[in-house]
Parts: sequence; structure tokens; C-alpha cells
Amino acid sequence: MTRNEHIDLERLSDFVDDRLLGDDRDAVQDHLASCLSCASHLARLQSLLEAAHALPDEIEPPPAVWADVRERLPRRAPSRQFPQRWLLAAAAVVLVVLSSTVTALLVRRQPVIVATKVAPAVTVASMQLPPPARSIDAGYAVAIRQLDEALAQRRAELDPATIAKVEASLNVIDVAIAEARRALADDPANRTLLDILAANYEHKVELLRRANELLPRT
Amino acid sequence: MTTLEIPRAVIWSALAAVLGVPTLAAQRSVDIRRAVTPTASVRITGAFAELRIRGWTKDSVVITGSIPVDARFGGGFMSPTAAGSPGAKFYLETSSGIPAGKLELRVPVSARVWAKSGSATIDVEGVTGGLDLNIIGGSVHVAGNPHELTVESMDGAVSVDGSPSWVRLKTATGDIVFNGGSEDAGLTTVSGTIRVPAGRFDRARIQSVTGAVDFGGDVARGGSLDVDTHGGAIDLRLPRTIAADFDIATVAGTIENALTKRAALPGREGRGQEIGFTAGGGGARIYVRSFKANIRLLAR
Repeated sequence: MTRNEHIDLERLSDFVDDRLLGDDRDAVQDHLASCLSCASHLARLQSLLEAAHALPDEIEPPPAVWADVRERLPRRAPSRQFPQRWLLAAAAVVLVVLSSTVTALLVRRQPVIVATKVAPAVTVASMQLPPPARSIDAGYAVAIRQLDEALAQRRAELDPATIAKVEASLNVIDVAIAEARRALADDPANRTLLDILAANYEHKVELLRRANELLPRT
Repeated sequence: MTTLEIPRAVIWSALAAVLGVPTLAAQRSVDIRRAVTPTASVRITGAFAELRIRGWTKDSVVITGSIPVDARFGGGFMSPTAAGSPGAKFYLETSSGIPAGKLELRVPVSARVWAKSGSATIDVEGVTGGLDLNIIGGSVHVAGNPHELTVESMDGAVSVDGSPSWVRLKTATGDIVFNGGSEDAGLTTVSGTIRVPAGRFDRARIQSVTGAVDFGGDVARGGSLDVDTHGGAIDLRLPRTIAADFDIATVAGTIENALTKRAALPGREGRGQEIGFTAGGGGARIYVRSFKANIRLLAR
């Protein structure tokens, strides 16, 4: 097989599910033996399926946590559970004024180089997501963690400007992932959102992989 | 009273040093030539700033150019067979680590070339074998019809004028322009733009997170075009006579259809829009998805 005949996802899924027979199966096996790209897709697919199978439908919090929560709940006076809305607004205004004043003082004193970091969108806990989205989360989690760790180890040998470029793009992707997850929590059966979430994770894995393959500073 | 005369060159050098004007570093030339097989694999990596790759009809590899005098240019050819060496590897190391030096690499047209640098300008022409080009910044331009083409960059722009059989172009923030068709194309960016002004595609997949996509190519009968973005606007400029099945949805954006009279419908729970229809009796498959981008189907 040549590179033009990479195995498509549907056929790869059939292969994993043991639905291919005879020559079909042999052809896929032969191709996998010589094609790093397809072999890597196969490994990711298998890892995704394993993670999905291992994922429980519901997760009970450990008993100790419940005991702790129960113990604390009655002690709180209901009126003190949450600050009143006006108090939050006032606190926010004070914070904004304080932050603006400090920034203005700093800017007046000297040129400031600001490392911009995109504020992450409000994150949604995994438990709030529908099971397919949790499977997608779990499927990519291992790959992302491993690539993150590998990149952290290489950090010193890469140009800081390059690291900044990579981090800026990772921020863009993380914001997109957070938006898709939040939308899925509101609309759990939306398949388009699932596709978009998976595509965003693909972008992240791909970018991390490429960052790990960048040339070091000499 | 004697006047101290200072040579003009010293004055200019001092001025340049004070003003931080870069002076031309001493250069040395590179000139390496060797017979190779027609399908030789050539790898070049390191801190080159400019690399021109040219395919030619001779079965030999020639590397010429100039590099800083203190740079290290190493590597060599694999053991030759009767028909010439099957491959070569070269690397360039500069003392500062900053890309420098201009190189021109001539290879047999059917050769496979793999080039990797930090920030560089890579310009390729006339290679029909395989190309795998990787940069962080700078730019890559490929002209011609390589059988296989992979280009990866972070913020470097990528442009292709030609029709590789198999092509993968990937950037983080760099813009992609692909002016030519392919049997199997994959164009991916995080926040750069992707523009396909023309070309015929059997299978094309275009993906972006926030970068805009502008596709003006043709999709072969029985072929497919898949586009997905998170927030990047999508414009598809298609011939009015196209024979294709369309399946298009945006979760929180809008769809404008100027290709047929069919209007987009509200999406699930009243959010976003979606549209599905068959044009020209169908044949090709056009599948577009976005989270919050506006999608336009335009006739050309």
C-alpha cells in the first residue's frame, strides 16, 4: 500500500471491532505494519475505546467526602452561604478600580511588557457532560498529558519566543474546547458539538505533537 | 599641535557598534556535488535562513550557497550503489543558533526531500517526488506537482501553487494558500487563514479553530469536501453547476445560501442554522460544521 491509500477511520474502526475478514483484514494488517501514521491512529482509537469502556456511567464521591460535606452543611447559616449580589458587584468595582490604578501607575513609570494570556472560558466539570463527551475528554486526556509532560521537559531547549507562540495557540484551542464543553452541557444530544469538541482536541494533540518535534536551539 | 587622524572605516565601525547596526558577518561558500539515484532521499536540517530547492533532470545532488564562516555544515551521502548514492543527510549549525546562510539544493525531480529549520524561507520548484518541510517562522512556497507534500509551520506562511497527489499543510497561526487541486488534501490551522482560490479535489479536509476558510475549488464527482471550524468564518465559492450533496450546520452562527434557492433552517432548539440539499443530481459530498462561525455558500 502506498501513502495515498491510508486506512480511513471507518475501516480502522471495523478492524478494531474485528469486523473485517480475510483479505480485507490482511490488507489492513499489512498496511499497519508499514505505515506509522495509520498505526498511530489505530493506537489512539484503541486508547479512546479503552478509556470509554473504563468510564463509569456515574461516579459516586468517596464516603469520606460526603461525610465531610454533611458535617459542614448545617453549620452554615443560610444567609451567609452566598454574598448578596450588590456586595459582589461592589467587590467587582473595587477590584476593577484597584487593578486599573495599579496598571496606570506601572505604565506611567516604565514600559511594561505584558505577557498576554487568554482568559480561559468558564470550564464545565466532566460530570455535567453527556457520556459521549466524557468519552472524548477521556480519550484525549492521556495523549495530551503525555505530550504536555514531554514538552515541559523540552522547554529549556526551545527558544522562549517559540514557546510563547505555542502557548498562545494552545490558549486559543483551550478556549474553544471550553466553549464546546459548555455548549454540550446545555445541549447534550448535539452531535455537531461532539464533532467540534473532538476536532478541537485533535488540534490540541496535533499542535503538542508538532511542538515536541521542533528543532532545539543550538 | 598635531591632529590625530582616525581612519574613516574605524569611525563607521564605531558608529555601527554604537547604533547597533548589524555588520555583515564573514561568509564562506558551500559547494557539494554527487551522483545519486533518481529517487534519492535528501535530508537537510538546522539553522539555515533561506533554502531554495530545485528539481532537475540530472541524477545528482548539488548544494551550493553561503553560510557564516563559523557555522558548521556537516553530513554526507549514503554509501553509493552502481546507480549512485540512495540518499544524503546534511545539517547546519550556527554559533549563535540564529538561522543564517542561504543554500540552494538541486535534486533529481523524483527525489524525496526532507527539510527542517527554525525560522526560514523555503522555496521549492520542480520536485515531483516527495517533500516534507518543517519550519517555525518564515515562509514556505512550493510550486509544482510533488507526489506527496507535507508542510508544517508555527507562524510561517505556507503557499502552494500546484497539484500534489497527497498533501498536508499545517500551521498554528500562519496563513495557508493552496492554489491547486489534489487527490487527497488536508489543510489545518489554529488561527491562520486558509484560502483555496482554485483547484480540483477528490478528497479535501479543511480544519481551523478560529481562522477563516475561503474555498474556491471544485470537488470531483464522487469526491468529498469536509470543512470544520470552531469560530472561523467559512466561505465556499462553488460553481452553480456543481453536482453534490450538501450537509451544513453551525451551532451558533448563520448560513447564507446564494448557491440555490433553499433557505437555511433554524438549528436545534432554535440555535444556529442548518441546511441539507442535493444540487445537480448529487455526486460529491460536502459536509461543513462550525460552532459559532457564519457560513456562506456562494456561486461563482
